[in-house]
Amino acid sequence: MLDDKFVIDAVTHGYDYAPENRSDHCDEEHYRRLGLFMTLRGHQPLESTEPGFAMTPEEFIVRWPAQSIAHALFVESDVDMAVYHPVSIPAHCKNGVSRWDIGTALRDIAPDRVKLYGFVDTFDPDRDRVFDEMRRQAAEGVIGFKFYPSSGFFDNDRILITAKYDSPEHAFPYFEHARTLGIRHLAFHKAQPVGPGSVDALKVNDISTAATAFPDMTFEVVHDGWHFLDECSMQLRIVPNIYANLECTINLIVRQPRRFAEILGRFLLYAGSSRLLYASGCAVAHPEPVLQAFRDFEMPKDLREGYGFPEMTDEDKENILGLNFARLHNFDIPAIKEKIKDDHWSKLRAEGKRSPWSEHRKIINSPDYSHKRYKAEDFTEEDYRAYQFGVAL
Amino acid sequence: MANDGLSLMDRVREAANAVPDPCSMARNLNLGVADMGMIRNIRLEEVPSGRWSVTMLIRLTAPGCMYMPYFEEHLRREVTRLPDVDEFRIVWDDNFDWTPECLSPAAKEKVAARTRHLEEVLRYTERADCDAQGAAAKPSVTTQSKVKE
Repeated sequence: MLDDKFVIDAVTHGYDYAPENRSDHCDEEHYRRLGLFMTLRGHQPLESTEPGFAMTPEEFIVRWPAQSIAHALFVESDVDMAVYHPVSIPAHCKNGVSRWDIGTALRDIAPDRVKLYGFVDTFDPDRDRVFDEMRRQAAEGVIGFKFYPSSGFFDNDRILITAKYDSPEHAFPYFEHARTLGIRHLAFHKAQPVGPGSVDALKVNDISTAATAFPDMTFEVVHDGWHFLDECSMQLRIVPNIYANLECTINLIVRQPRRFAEILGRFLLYAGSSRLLYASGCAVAHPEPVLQAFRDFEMPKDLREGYGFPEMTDEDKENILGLNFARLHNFDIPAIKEKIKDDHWSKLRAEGKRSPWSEHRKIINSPDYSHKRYKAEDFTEEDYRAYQFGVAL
Repeated sequence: MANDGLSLMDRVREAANAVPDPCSMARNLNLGVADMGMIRNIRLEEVPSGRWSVTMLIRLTAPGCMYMPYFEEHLRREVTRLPDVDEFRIVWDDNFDWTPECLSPAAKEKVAARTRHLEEVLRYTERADCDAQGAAAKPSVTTQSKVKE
């Protein structure tokens, strides 16, 4: 609980860029640099600059233990529940960039706190196999499905292969199949690059078409507002079954608060707070600084007066932090509070908030941690040169 | 390129602005790197040939941007076309403090004009929907007024 507000983190990931998870499609150097990219350009710029939050590549580019993620969420910060999103990207990782089995392990160690979304690889040409996989995940209890605009592969002209989700022939059958499985909540990675290529598939307009065609289902635009703010906010206003999942977008509050205010202000002005979902993307960044900054957040006066952005109310914060997601999935918050109030995580949390990533650092540095890790000397100067930020001129 | 009275610094900036930001292109805005406010600083150093070495400190608009190779290749190509320039180097700024307020005045006006146009379409659509349903009009949105600089 953040003060008296129930917190549901609408996206968490269990990354695995460790050496053993490299796909045969990805050469060793490229794979190593992808991990470095995720650390230096994904994790570190989003992360708080307070001590302990920013991880080194050797700490971040590992197979993430479920225990590390649970601690970051439930012991090192004020998150009550979390939703795990697996990410496939077979061009890079054999078993997923965000592994399915880390998600189920996370669910198993915090069963009343963790819900799963399934992943749908719409780039697999064998649709029956994809449907079987969706069926298998539904049997595991997923409450939604996640879609990506790319699986990381390039075509023969070295153009990134991408997908949009407004095609009755290519996209709608997956939504119909989800519906037959009783799952009516879909989420789509948008607005944030997935590879060096056209940004066209990152635009959000296709989701308006899909959501209009499936009015009995809900569509989360993940990373909403990160780019294409005009389109994102107008879509949110016009299409009532679209939700803005603020994964990474809300993390901007830590290092780019002004930019975050301009995004959130637009969403509030256009559509109010009832379809905005807090999501940290942990482990891309720690949830604690995001939540603390959000608790203290006020819409800047000049943006209220200049753009007509509304005040940020306590009710808005409560909606965004958890109530909206709970309503979306018909969660009974009082019943969940009762279930988790004395669980393992509540007992640990009652001992005090631990320092950031403390459990993660303990686990991966323990002799019992069995997965191969990169060491500092595995990264060449050339690797770093490709992804290093500089000093001020 | 003709030296039309501009300083070398201005010409470097102008050359860099010929490189469009891919995300602005996706919004049909076609804003250059300088107009986007991505150039934090430019350093010019004279090299032994008597010409100049250019180092450009570039701030990306967001973490996770995958277009650094694109920016590097295209900025190098445009800037080294200047007859006075021998060398070019990019340094990536790690502050990540870009906001839309970093846009040039001309770019701000372009963005605002696009937003105004989209809001007009939105108002028209919503009014037509309400008329068709016999419903009361929704309060319209506008973000046209300007934030003080």
